[in-house]
Amino acid sequence: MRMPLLPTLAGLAIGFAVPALAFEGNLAGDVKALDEFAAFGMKYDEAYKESDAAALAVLFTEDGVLVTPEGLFSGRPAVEKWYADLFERWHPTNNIGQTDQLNGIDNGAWAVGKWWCTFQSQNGPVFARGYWSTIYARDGDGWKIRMSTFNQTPAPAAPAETK
Amino acid sequence: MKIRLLIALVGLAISFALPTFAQQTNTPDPQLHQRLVDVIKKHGDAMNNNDATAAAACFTEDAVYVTDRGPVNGREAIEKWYADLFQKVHFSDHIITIDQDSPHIIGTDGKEMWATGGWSTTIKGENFGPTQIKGYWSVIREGDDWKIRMLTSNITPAPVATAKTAESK
Repeated sequence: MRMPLLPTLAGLAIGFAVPALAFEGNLAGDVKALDEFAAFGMKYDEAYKESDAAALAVLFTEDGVLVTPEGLFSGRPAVEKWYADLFERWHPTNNIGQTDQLNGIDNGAWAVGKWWCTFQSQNGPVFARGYWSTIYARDGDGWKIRMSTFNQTPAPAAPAETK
Repeated sequence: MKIRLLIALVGLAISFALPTFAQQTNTPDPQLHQRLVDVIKKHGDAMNNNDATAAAACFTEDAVYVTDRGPVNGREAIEKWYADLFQKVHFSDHIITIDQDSPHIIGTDGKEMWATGGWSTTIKGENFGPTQIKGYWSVIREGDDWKIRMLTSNITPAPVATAKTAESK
């Protein structure tokens, strides 16, 4: 596997596990909102584990935006296509995500976290990791992704490239 | 220093120059969009001047900058991050594109917003460059002066053909 490909293909393994985290800001102390956020994270993780692009796209608002290293994808159909293309090329396994900061803002929230994922490739498993941030909008008793951005930590340069 | 590692670092230093480019859906108030262009220009100028203090001044005290090496928390740490970067790499020709839908105002008082866009820049180090790199960003800004509360950036991977050529050398 040539590492320069990875950022394009690895994609967004964003998980939303919330490790003993609480909201800061105007949702501080809102246990219900936190429970709903955890439930949302489980939905995301399940959909990702199943490589289900449609189920992932539904977790975005209709006008949701996904900011990838390849560009901005606006609207649920574009987001679904992005995930579908990703899963067509790669099969993620052992996807792990973590939310490190969670802030209430107006009637929504934003969070920052990290992700790890192993992807199956023709040359065997490939490990990738990076960081993400997401803005969430309230949707009834749940949450939707309004905008999400991810990056990928560069892999150490191969020996041939350091010459 | 290994060029790829350096480029990765640099890419996160998202410079913010001006322009505006496209996407779709709801167009924001032109005055708000212009206000966003203006605040972004401050960051772009700081980057073009390789000025860590000025770049960090664009952030709130409690800001978080989500780089691909991890989050940098607080203005002071962000300034150090920029200072370390500028010691190794010289930036020029920063171009920032702002999604035409931005800014997206949060709440009713107009003091919080988020925005997205793209960036490109030319970097030069002691043993590499000049090289152009690019990527995308998103930001949450707040306060009367719309300082950066959260910034996340990524780097567009190099074209495959180029990468293969480089690796086959």
